[in-house]
Amino acid sequence: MSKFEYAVIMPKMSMTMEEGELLGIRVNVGDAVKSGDILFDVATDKIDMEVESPADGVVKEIVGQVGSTMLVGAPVLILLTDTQVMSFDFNTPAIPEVAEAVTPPVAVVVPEPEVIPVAEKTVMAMPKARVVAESLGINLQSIDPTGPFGTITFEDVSREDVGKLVESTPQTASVVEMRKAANRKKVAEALELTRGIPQITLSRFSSHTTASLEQGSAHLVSTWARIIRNNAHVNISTHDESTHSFIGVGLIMESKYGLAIPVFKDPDLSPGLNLQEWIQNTRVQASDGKVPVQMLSGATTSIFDISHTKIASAIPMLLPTHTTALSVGAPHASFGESEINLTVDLRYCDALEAASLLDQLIDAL
Amino acid sequence: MTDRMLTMSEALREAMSIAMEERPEVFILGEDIGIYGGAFGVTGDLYHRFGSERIRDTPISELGIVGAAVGAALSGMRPIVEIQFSDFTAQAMDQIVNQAAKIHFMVGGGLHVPLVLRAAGGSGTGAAAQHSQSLEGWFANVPGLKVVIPSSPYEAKGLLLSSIDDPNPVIFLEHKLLYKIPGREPVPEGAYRIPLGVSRVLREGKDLTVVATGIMVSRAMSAAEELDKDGVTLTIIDPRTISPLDMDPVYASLEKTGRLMVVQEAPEHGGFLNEVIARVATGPSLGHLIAPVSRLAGMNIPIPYAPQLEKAAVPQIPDIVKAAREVVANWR
Amino acid sequence: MELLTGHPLESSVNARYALLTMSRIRKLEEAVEDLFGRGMMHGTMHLSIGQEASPTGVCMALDITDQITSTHRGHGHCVAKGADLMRMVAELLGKENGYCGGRGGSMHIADVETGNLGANGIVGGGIPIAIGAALASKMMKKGTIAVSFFGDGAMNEGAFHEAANLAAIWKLPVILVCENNKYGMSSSTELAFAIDHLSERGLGYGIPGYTVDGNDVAAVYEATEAAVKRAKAGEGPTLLEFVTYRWKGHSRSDKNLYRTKEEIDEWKKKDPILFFEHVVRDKGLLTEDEIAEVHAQATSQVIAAVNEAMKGKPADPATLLDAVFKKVDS
Repeated sequence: MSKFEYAVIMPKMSMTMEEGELLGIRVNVGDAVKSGDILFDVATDKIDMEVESPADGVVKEIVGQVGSTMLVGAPVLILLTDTQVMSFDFNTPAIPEVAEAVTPPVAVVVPEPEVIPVAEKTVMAMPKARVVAESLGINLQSIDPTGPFGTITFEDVSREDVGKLVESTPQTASVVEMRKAANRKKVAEALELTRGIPQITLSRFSSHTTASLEQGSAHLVSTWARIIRNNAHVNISTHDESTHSFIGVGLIMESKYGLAIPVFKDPDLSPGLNLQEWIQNTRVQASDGKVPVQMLSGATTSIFDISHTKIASAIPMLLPTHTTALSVGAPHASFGESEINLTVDLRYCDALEAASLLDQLIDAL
Repeated sequence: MTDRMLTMSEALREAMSIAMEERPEVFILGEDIGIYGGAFGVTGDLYHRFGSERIRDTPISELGIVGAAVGAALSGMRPIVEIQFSDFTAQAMDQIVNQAAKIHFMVGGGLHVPLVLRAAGGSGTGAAAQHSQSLEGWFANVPGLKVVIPSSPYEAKGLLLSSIDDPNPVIFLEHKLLYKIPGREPVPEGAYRIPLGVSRVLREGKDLTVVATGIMVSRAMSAAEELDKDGVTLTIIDPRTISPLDMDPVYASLEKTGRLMVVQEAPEHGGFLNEVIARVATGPSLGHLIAPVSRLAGMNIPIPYAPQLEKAAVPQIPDIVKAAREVVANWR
Repeated sequence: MELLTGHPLESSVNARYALLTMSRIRKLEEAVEDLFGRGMMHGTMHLSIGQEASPTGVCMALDITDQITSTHRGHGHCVAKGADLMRMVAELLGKENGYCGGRGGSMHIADVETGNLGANGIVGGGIPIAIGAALASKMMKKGTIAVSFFGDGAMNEGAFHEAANLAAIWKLPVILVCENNKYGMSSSTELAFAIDHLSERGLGYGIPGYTVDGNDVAAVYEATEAAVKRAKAGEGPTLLEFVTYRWKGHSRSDKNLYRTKEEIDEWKKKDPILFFEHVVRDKGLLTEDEIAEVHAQATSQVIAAVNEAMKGKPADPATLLDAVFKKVDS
């Protein structure tokens, strides 16, 4: 009479159960069982449960080992049943990858709280004051705050020499010139700071070609970001030697007030066309003198892409807090290859590693 | 054109009357809305005009009547439920939150609940702690509900007509003090609709952007007129609907003023307008701020009874004037 | 499946339909239990195995345009009202082509085309909604009725009392169907009620109440049919208590600590399907072979539904935001 083979499995008994312990089996091979008879006992961290026979039949085989922990869905014993029991074995569970992982209740070592030193001179400034100071190249530390709690106000920044003509007043040529001068001074001051750092510049020729400036820059930025991601030891801000959790690549571009260096965060995770668009939009904003505030900091490297000019090469210089700097020159008129230069801070990356980085980049390009 | 000045009760009644004439499936149910004319007189004479089937008096049974409205809305009707005091929605919360708000989503779009729940809220009438709350934050935190807060008779009529048209459940929260006073602007005759999800800029100024809801809109307007005399000018924005919330005019205004103030009657802690502040803090206008955000809201207490206590518990016109003056003077 | 209206014992066709419906419900729930046991189903589920006569008998007294509200233990109501098994299983598996696009799952399953206003995760949540559906029917003169299925547990919720009163004072065409399966999760009716028959609760609202053997599909049909007549005649609501029993635990993690194995076994002897088989054999409506054939048909329908549902595409998170509000112009 018993004609249907049915595997009684380790059942899922709660929303979070993934496995269970087989405590004991109450039947033997050859036993006749009735629907509702208890076949075996199961324990999970939450609940103990008796598993019943779903139908009348005979025990054909015992598969599970008493005392063992079995995954949900694993067969414990095989029955020959009188009536067909609903059973679906699709192997691949439909849900597990969606189910939330349950943290096992093991002892957790709570680390001593890390003492984070307070920055020596925290500058408090209103958001707009920061934005304006940044775009004018004003060092906020040089400003006397007049706002409550010693906060630098928008007015404090506007009062500065360079800034007093800005904002609501229409910008005359002389205002632009003043800002350019301020910007130049800022860049020069910054490079002054990095001049004493031990550094080396390596160059190689690359035969990669690109259709447009945007396409080329996007390709370069995302490839270089990927190389940095694979070489996390150079993704360091030299300011406090912290390794960044993201990849920030500064791309040097022209702005209304001279050169600007907007920072592209995790550009390698942005799909190609999006990145091109992102770079293009940023160029438009920069040319109007407006770099989005969230793109003003966070880089550990910079790229000087002059491949669409006539300049063959430029020695890249390390910007403060950056570990590496890259430049790409125009393709040579006759043999078509571009010169790529890489400058590294030798305190964080030696010359051999630098050569490897450059090789990786050119291979990837 | 008309220069009719109506009270909010009259404007709401007119909207419901128009909707009932336009659509046979619109009906109203609630406690004492029939011959009594509604606890605040909003339904007025509608019972005599539309009869007891469509102006349906109910027992005191908030959960039952909201549930019945949900079922009727699912089955082709467009019920308007009147809850006498918004505080009593607590009695009906399962039907509002677990049923009306979620049915469309839960069944995968095959059913929808075109229901308007009107409820009177707000303090100022001495009704004390269980009859005076501003509960918009509860509802705004439930996906699937639209939440409308009319600030004047003109707004009330146009917003209520749009709410009745909407295929989704709409919570329509009316401030009791607005029922009886004429608004600042005329209410056109006939049907007009104000779309849900479009903020209104009531006036533009250079110094401070004020986002206010419900009765605080007219208080902010009065404060702005006072401040005009000092040469401090305010932009006043009424979101009208807090779900959905239209922030664009706020962002645009902050580019000009650089200063934000939010004013609500509901308690400050967990209040809805904190969402406006959060969106500014995380959105495109942060870099325009030249001042910290100011927040005027009800105290974190139940609404008290005695008139002087009740007034002190929620922002009044002088509070707005003072806070606006300070933020403009201190942050430049 | 085409919905059939009529007495389960009126003809062989009707008997076959009633048996097939009950068998489909049971096989579907056995399949669901198996899928859940294998970790292929997310969340939780509440099985109505042992209670199949109530949804089957009630829905055989209804037209397709009549509306129902269902409960968290609602697979049977959904099937009996005419839902497609494949789309039900697809919903439980979180597939795009499930009845709710994967947004509802077991507790909110509904085929709205068959007048099902939804299963409900809130105990008693559907009762006031059914009253509203009946109100709409009355106001729009649709001539349809509404049935609210709920369990014994829901009768102690305020929602039942408020809804019952509104139904009575407005004489609404609604039937309140209490499937008394003896336990609200673990609380027995003896612990939760001080009355012998839950149908007595109707008295306080002016609603006639009847207690009926909920495992006898013919008795369920007859009681419902009488209530339908009353509703359509404008005489108002009826409260029906169908006494039945849930064989399985409340949900999967139930250890049955609150009842004895003997009690469960006693009720298994009152299996509504086996009982109906006896009746139809005695009356000569179906032969032994025909009965076996009906079960085989139900089994193969369920297996086909599961296999087909497995092929469905998983519901796409990208569509989630579009689903919260109905578009104003659609």
